[in-house]
Amino acid sequence: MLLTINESFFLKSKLNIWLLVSFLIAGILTLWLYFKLTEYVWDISYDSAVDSEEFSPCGDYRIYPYYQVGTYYKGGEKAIKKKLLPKVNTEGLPPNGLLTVRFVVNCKGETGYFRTKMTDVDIKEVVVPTSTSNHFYDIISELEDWIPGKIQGKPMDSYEQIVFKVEQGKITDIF
Amino acid sequence: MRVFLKFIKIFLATVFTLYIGLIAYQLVFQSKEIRFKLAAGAQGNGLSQVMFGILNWQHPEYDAAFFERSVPFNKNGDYETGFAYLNQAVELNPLNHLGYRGYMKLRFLRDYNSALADFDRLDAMTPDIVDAPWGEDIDFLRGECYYGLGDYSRALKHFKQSITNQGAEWVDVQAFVYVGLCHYNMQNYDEAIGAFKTGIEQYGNTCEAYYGLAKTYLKVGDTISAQINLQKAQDNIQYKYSDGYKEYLNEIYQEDLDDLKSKF
Repeated sequence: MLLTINESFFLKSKLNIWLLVSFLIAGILTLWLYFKLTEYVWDISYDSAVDSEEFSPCGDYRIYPYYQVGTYYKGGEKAIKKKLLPKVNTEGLPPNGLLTVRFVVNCKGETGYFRTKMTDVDIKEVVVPTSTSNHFYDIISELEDWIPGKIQGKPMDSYEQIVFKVEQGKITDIF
Repeated sequence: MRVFLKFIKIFLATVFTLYIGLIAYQLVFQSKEIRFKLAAGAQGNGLSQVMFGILNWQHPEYDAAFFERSVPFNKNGDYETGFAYLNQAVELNPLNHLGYRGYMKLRFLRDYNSALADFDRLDAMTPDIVDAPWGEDIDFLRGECYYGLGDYSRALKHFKQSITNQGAEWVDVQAFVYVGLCHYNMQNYDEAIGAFKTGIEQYGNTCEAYYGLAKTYLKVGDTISAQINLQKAQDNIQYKYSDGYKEYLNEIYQEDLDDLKSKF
């Protein structure tokens, strides 16, 4: 009975309600801000269903886009093209469009966390079969001369991307 | 004690309320220009995208917000999302955004025909001025498009026009390199040598021009001049033409110099 009276008193107190509601909203807002401030449009999250357990980024916090830290491949995109063109198989890809493979280059120059996005000539997304994506992941995994980007001389984890241009069923450019 | 407790409660509730109000103000009620600057400064961040989302919803005519929202997506290979926003910016203000869209189609998608369509449309809108999409001469960019398509004759015409537009003293030295490369690909070796030399006269550290000279001299059988220029290309490789985002069509690497060395 006493508890009910206290509860009633508590709920009737406009000051307490104001404090509770403002505290809850401020708390939720702070959490939401934290999540928004720590997520980026370029993020790739580990997915146990597709990502190898053998690969992991060196750090456990931030992975930078390649252009922010200067990650590159020895010999540039020209060297990538030279190595990948003879190995590439376009089975499963639409006849025209761009296949973009994004992945992580860790601080040791190892690669993993591969993801694909394919767009057609109108820059609309096209679904790529898993087996086709896996073929591209396999051939990119064989590239061994990644130079990790650095911040103040320290090698960092970064996101890289390779674009395959498909024209009339053939890969005509890699950049 | 009760008064003190009440004071603390009022103080805390006021702080929380002001905090909520401040966040709401920054996200929704602040002037659109200031919110644009804040969101653009945090490019790629989740909060930046939320702010652009609110701006796009509140001010559907504000083309700059659509344009800026597109940037991190296109830089990071999500072209469907990036170009959806960029297309909206172009629709709202073609004069301001057609050039950038053409530039992105050229450098990021290597969709030369589509890039040319944007550059040509922009040029038709501004017949009395020489446009500079994303700070580069429009004819230089059109030249690159035709070079990418393998139409060296048309590429040459636009690179020469770019030199005329900017003046030989001010034009990007790579225009001379591309003129040389077009001539080289059309087997006009004397003209190629002339163009590469003009580039070097303008800027003595142009390693692409030395490399072009070395290749051309090798082609015409002058191995001594080829070796001299290959060495100069080697000495100037640290000044090579490069970009942090994408490889240029005429970009050279140490491996190219090594390959050419192996041919002597």
